[in-house]
Order: sequence, then C-alpha cells, then structure tokens
Amino acid sequence: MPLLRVENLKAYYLVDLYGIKRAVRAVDGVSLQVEENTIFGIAGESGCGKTSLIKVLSATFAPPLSVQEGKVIYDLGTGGTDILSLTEEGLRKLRWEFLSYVPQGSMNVLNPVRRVRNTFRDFVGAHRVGTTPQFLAAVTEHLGHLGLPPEVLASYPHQLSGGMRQRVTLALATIFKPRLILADEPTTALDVVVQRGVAQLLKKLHAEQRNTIILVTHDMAVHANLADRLAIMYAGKIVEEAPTAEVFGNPLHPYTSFLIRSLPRIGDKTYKVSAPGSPPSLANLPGGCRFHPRCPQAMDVCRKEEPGLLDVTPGHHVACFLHGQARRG
Amino acid sequence: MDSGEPTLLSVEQLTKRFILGGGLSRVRLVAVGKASFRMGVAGPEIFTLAGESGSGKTTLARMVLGFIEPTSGRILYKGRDVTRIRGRASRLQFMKGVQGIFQDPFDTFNPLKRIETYLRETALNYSMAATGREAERVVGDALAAVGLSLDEIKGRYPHELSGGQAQRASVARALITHPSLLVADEPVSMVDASLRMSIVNLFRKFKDERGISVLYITHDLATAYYVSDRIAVMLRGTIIEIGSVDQVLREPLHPYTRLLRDSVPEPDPRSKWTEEIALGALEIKEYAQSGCKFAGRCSREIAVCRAAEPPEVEVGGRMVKCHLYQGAESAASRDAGS
Repeated sequence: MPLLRVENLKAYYLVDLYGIKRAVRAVDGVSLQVEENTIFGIAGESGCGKTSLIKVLSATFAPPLSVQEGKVIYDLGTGGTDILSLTEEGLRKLRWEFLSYVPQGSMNVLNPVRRVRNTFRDFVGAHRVGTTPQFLAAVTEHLGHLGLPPEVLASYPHQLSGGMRQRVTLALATIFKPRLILADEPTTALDVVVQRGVAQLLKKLHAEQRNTIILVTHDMAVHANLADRLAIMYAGKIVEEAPTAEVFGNPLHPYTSFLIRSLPRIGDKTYKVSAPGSPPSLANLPGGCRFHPRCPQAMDVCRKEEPGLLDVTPGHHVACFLHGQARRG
Repeated sequence: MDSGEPTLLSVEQLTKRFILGGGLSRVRLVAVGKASFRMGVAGPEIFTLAGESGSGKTTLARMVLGFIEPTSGRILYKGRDVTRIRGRASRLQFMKGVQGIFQDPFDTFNPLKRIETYLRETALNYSMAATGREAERVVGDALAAVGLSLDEIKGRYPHELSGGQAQRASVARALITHPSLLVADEPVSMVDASLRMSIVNLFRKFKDERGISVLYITHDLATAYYVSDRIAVMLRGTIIEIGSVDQVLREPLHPYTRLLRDSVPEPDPRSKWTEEIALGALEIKEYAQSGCKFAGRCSREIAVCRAAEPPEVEVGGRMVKCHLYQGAESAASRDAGS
C-alpha cells in the first residue's frame, strides 16, 4: 500500500460576492499515489493550484477553500485513513509526528519577539514532555546534525539570514522524524548558494530519516536535482506524472515539453520559446482540455472533451488526447 | 573618451555608502564600492550585472537611472556625467535615453489609471507625440514591439492583466521614448516560468532590431547566459569578475563566481549535485570584512586575502579581482581549464 493515495480530489474556493456565487476550481480531480521513502515533486506555475493541493493533503485548509469530492488516504499502519474524515484531535496526533507541513515563506513563521530556543519549546512542548535540559540537548543535537551552529538557538529571528531561518524551520519540522514532509516552495526566494544548501539539507534528511517528501516548487531545476517522481500541474489538474528522468527526457504533454524546452541553461544559447498565451484563471476555465487555447497541436476533440490521466507506458501518466487516449471512447 | 562616438555608458569608480542607524549604533555600509565597467563600446550589447541579494546590484542600477546619488565616482552616459545633469531639458533628454524596467510590473503602473491612459500620458509627457491621436500611434507601436495589441489593453486596469502581460506592458512603457539603454532590474523573477523566455527574448530582439543596449540585472545565471554578451559578477558591493558570458560562466576564474555557477541547479536529472558545499557566515560580517569579501568562505584562501584588497587583474580579456591571479597569467589560464 502506498503511503499516500489521493482519489479524484476536488477542492474549490467558494466565493460569494454580492450574492454572486463563484467557484475557483483550484484542485479539480487530482489523483495520485506517493510511495514510501521517495521524493515526490509537484511542479506548476503560480496559480495552478499546487499550494491548494498541498494544503488539502496536510488538512490545513480553511474556508473559503473546501473539499467538494474525493479522498486523501494515508497509510498509518492500520489499513488506510482518510485524513479528511479525522477530527481536529485526530489530526493533532498526526501533525509533526506523522506528517510535517512546511508552508511557503516558512522562514517567516518564527516568532520575531522570541528567541529561536523558545519557539522550539512552544512548538515541540505541545507534543512531547521531558525536562527542559533534556529537550534542549535533543534540539541542539538535531540542529548540529543539520549543520546549524548552536548559537542560532539563542538568536532572535531577525539576526539570522533568510537561508538560515529556512533551515531552522526545516529543522523544526523534522525534529520528531515525521514519515512525511510536505514542503511548499522551500527553496524559493533564497539566493542560489543558499538554495543549494537547503536542497542539500532536504536530501540529507531524506537519506537519514528515510522519510517521504512531497516537494512543491515551480523551479524545474530543483525538481531535476531532488525528485524521484514528478507531477506537472496545470490549471488545477495533473497533466503528466512520471519518473523525473522520464519527464525531462521524454515529456509527452505539450505543456510539459514547452516547460522543459524553455529552460535556459549555462552553455546553451539556442533560441528558446515560451508557450504562447498565458495560464487561464481558475475561476473561468476554458472548456475541454484546459491547455487547448495555448496548444499548437490542439484538435477538435480537445475543445470539447477533457482528457483523462492515463498510462502511456507503465508509470508514465499523461492527460492528453495526443497520447494513449484511444482506449477511452 | 573625447574623440569620436562617446561610450554609451561608462561607470567609473562608483561608490555608494549608506549610513544605517543613528547615534551610537551607527553603521556605515558600503553598498557599492568602486565599481567600474563600460557598456556599448562596440555597438549595442546586453550586459548582465549578476549577484546574490545584498550584492548591491540594485543600488548600482538605481544610480545609473539617476534615482539616487552616488557617494563618489562618475556615471557617464554618452560622455556626459549623469550626476551633474541640471535643468529640465537636459534631464528629460537623459530620461528619454535611459529607461528602467522593474521586478514587479504592477508597481510600474498607477493602479487607479487604465494602462492605455498611462502609456498615452507617458508619450505626451516625454513629447514623443503632440496630439492624442499621435500618442495612440506611438503607444500602439510600442505595444506591438512587445507582442501586445491595443485591444488586449484597452480599458483595462493593471490588476486585470496577468503577470506576463503586465510585464510586457511595462517593457512597452520603457520603449515609448525610444531609449538607447534599458536598465532591467530582475525583470523576469516574478513572471511565470512558462512565459519567462518570452520576456527575455524581447531584449535580444531589441538589441538586434533597434540597437538598444540592455543592462540586465539578475540573480539568475541561466537566463543571464542565454541573453547577454558580457557579464559582471558582484559580491557584497564589489565587482569581482567581468568578461564575456562564455568566459565567465563556462570557465569562471574567481572562486566566488565558481561557487555561484556550481550552485545553479541544472535542469537535467542526469547531472545532480554530488558534493556538499559549506554555507557562509552572517552577511553583515562580510560587508565589514577588510580585504577580499569572500575570504571567509573561500576554499583557496591565502594569507594576503584578509589583509589587502585584491587587485584588478586582467586575464585573457577579462577582469578578475582576486589575489590568486596576481601577476600569474599563465597559471590562471591553466587553472581555468581544471
């Protein structure tokens, strides 16, 4: 049984503006499986629903975002638990010890008027009891292990650089060795050298704690370096999902291939083109395949029907009428 | 300098010091220290100023645009000292020639004005058009150059455009005055990945078709390589290496450039990072450090690094500011190959 199985998940932002009800379909029929001890990447542009998806997966969403349909099943060793059916108390037991959610911009979660040491105590105290010296020793050891000097504990957040704070938050999130880490843009807004340091830290955590990481970022190069499998999201849907090497080596969905082919790299001056047009608004989606207005290979069927996510080769799923949709009517 | 066509932009020993805090906690921060470079010596070019956050690249750009005054040093635009421009007419002349494009396109426009109105007013204010109808044509031309049409913009407020469209519109705004130099400060860092290249390609097109030079300021070395001819790498206010992008990014000489280049993740699962890197100390310490700012993190530090400021050494057509290359041109080229 996979660690996480998502079945036809639909999560919409329901907005009621002057009596006009609108649904922003941020996550619209997502199904995926994440195996234990892997790094699963989710890539997509801003506004494609990737943050909404990860919020639902970690059960940290609040209105106006609400789940309309679907299941999020975790393997807790008791034969699959739908996290959406748990009570707040049940969720509290899972958080930090089974799953840790590191939200976007998490370097700013540290309380600005408390020393890092106290923030650790606030967060961790709710989960585990022990004497303060014992706990501090454990925290210091964990930080040291992740290459952070013990002085950070005595610092206030403003005394640390952004990269340092990001690493402190990752350390905080992994102190109980959770089986699953959901990290939303952990390397974004950092300098390249620091970004590499954070990526290095994630890799190290993965290797040592043998946990599963769901990594959400728009940066394809970070995915290339970290992810084992990669899902590409476009306008609330997963359009392609495959092993990372497959996505880069043999992208099948036209959107994915635009994304991969337009990546600049040092040593390559050949002319790169971006996909034409711009991503649709999630409140006003085009009919049929959501990429068809921008797709140079669009056919009649693309405007009328929505392609399903199907296996093209084992383990390589694509939602596109150009590939493997023959079986479906 | 005095004979023939003057250099488009020549920055000489430019320094900007900021005073932080007051009273006893006063700190002097050298945001840009003695930066020198020239642009457009032989025809239009795209010149990248690369560096991490806090390297002073934006401060330098703001000085070139005339937004802030340098503490010392000169900026010569077509042979004239930008900091000494007096009078409305010559100020306007300078502003027409040098235009800026900024990170957040939504900051460029007045949120309460329709984009077309804003663009039309720009054309009129810069006397690029005498009548409203003429302004319409000027705006239409600028929009066409960035791949937008007046119909897409008509009647719209900035928030009604997508990020990519808004950035195109702000590039169009900069084109209205027919500038010879565009200063683009992180123009694509807020644009979606699938649209980023479409903005970067505009700069290539402007250079080839309109002879516009671009000072491209970025932290992203991959797009810098793609778009530019030459590059200057900044570290904590100092330019440490200048040369053609091929030289600097494919065979970096300065240890910091090397670290920066090696930290750029390659979008290829077959070449993942293998070795681990050491992360630096707090940045404030590096600003205050005497000698070479990189000494604390450099794996090839020698005794002289912390004692004296490194000299600017000319190695095979590029400038490197590093003690390792002092008076050792042959050793340097051997090094680059390794």
